[in-house]
Amino acid sequence: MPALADLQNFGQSVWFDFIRRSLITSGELKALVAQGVRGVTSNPAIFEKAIAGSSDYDEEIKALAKTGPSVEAVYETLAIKDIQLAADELAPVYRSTGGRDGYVSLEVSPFLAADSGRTVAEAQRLFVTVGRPNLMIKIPATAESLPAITESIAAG
Amino acid sequence: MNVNVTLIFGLENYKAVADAYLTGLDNWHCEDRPFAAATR
Repeated sequence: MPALADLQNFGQSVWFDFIRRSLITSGELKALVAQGVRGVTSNPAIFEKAIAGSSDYDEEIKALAKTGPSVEAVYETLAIKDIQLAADELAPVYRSTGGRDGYVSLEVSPFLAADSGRTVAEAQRLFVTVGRPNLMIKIPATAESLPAITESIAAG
Repeated sequence: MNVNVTLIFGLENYKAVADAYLTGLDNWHCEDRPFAAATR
């Protein structure tokens, strides 16, 4: 048994703290899941490294740029596609564990971290837009975001 | 919705986040929804 998978016998779930398009399309993430990885996390810094530090997204960015979207819209399009693809890779883990594992996380924009109401709205919008039950929405733990944590959990 | 809280620094912040989380579960349960569905 791979060491990562063996950790599950000790109640530990290993998450992979990185994402990039080629990680998914190459089958590398699938292989990691087979070895015992139980979740994937992302954040804006990880996406910055993935998008600016690779050529994985060049063709899609060129295509998107033709319609004149904002930089934020391009980022969100690329990020959400990665999250959806990763969530699909982890869906079998999500199903086999009854929802205890198999998540991919996506962070609410840190620019909203001082605005609880907009954080809640953005969390709900992202959850609906991604459209995967095994999406986990990250909310920064600022003092202003505490009501957003409560409200988002209570919303179910 | 599944929620993951990031950037928690310091014991006081951990307590504040735990309270926010538990209050969210309480509010969920007050609407007659099962805890199991909120804590998978």
